[in-house]
Amino acid sequence: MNRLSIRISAHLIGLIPLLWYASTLWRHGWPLDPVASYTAASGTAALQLIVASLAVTPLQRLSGRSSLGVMRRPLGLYAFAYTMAHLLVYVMLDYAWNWHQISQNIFDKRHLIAGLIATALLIPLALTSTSGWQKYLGRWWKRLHRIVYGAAGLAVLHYVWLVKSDTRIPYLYATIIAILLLMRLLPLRKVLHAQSR
Amino acid sequence: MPPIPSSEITPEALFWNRRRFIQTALAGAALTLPGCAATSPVTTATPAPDAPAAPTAPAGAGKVTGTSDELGQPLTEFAAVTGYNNYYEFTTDKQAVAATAANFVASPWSVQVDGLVAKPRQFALEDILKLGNEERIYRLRCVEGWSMVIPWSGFSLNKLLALVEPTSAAKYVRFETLNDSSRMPGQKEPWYTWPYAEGLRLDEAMHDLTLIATGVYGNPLPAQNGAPLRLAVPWKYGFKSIKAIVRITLTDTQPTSLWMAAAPDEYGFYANVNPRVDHPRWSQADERRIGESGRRETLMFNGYDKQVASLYTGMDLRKFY
Repeated sequence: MNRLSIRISAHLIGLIPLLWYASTLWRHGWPLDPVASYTAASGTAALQLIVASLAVTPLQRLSGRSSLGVMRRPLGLYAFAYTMAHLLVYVMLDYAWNWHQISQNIFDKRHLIAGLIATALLIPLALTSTSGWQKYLGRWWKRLHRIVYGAAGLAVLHYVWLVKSDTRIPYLYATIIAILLLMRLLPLRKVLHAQSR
Repeated sequence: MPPIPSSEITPEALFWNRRRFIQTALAGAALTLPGCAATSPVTTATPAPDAPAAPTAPAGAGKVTGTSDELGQPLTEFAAVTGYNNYYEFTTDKQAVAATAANFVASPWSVQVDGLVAKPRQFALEDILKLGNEERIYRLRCVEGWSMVIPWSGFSLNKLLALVEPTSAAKYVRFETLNDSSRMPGQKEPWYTWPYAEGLRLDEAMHDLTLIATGVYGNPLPAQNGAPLRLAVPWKYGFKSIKAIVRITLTDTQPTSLWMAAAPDEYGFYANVNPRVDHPRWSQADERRIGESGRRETLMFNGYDKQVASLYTGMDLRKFY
């Protein structure tokens, strides 16, 4: 795969949640509680894209294709876009800009605090995602972008804390994220090469 | 007037979907114009007093006399009332309950009323239906933070309890839903302890507001709303209003509900709507009325405080949540 097709596949992956949601609307009709539906869909999409962006490094290592690295930026930016959509639905549609109601909620509930911090952490990453910033920040760029691990952890915590009772799916995301982070620590390629020899 | 062939009637769901599409499109326009939000009708939390009420008899609904509750809040659309249901016995997807429950057969049906009563009895559904069919427009506040205004029909539970004569030892009433995973596929889900059970204190159960609903929107109760009979306790969170009841037992011990068993620190026995006592993880101060944008302030006892506050005199509602 050349760089262009890798880039295109990153965009396709980023658009999957949107296309999936459109197909859900097509199949099931317009949601009767649109706000709840948009909230769940945008939040899930954001988490899925964070997972996808975290999967790039392990995939690079497993496949030995360093060219897959170009997927990181678009996947991360899609995660950021879905997160912003999630926040906008909350502020604009759910609470209709009622700052009084929002403020009496947001600093009181741990899942909202976790979600808010995760969102805030993604902002500098999105702003410094350009090649210009990457060059300007040099080795600090990589360090800065490790913030995404914290954002991913907080995002999944946000999910665990908000579900009514059945925590299986949020814990599934937590497990996947944990595995993806652990894979960075293990010398996977060495292990694989040792086996193939 | 000659009957209109059903083929010529726009399906209810489609009709409202179009309306909703337009509303949502407007809401989407507001997204690009945040400065206009304050004047945009779609972002108004509370409709103006002269706002048109929901239609009283949309296609598919029977005859409903009222157009709003006693506070003037308009009925929630028929499509939402019968298409957006929390009913884990079928599926946890609220909007898929109606389809999943479509083939549920609710007759024959009987309700066992037993326990600490002088005259335990098995009631056939036909006999229960004779106890009354009055329209009651109640607000329903879900513990998840959304709400509806629903025209139920039925009778006060105290009418049924009077027939079995609770003894002086009876302190609580326990309710149980049908337990049959072949008819209620959601009960195959092992995460919850089936059957669904709920409970009320006897004085709560005897309160005139506590309704056995056998119909909604002028029709017999559809499966997704808890056919053939359910509880409607308007001052408590929706999960207290147990559906598809097969057994009512008078007891002297406080019953454990399904939700109490699932998360005892989050769901208490009383579950009275209370904006000042939050769910441990989310606020209960406000609610989203289905069909509206923005949020309404949640009312103490869901707005029924004048009628029911005296039931809880001297109780710490933070402790007895």
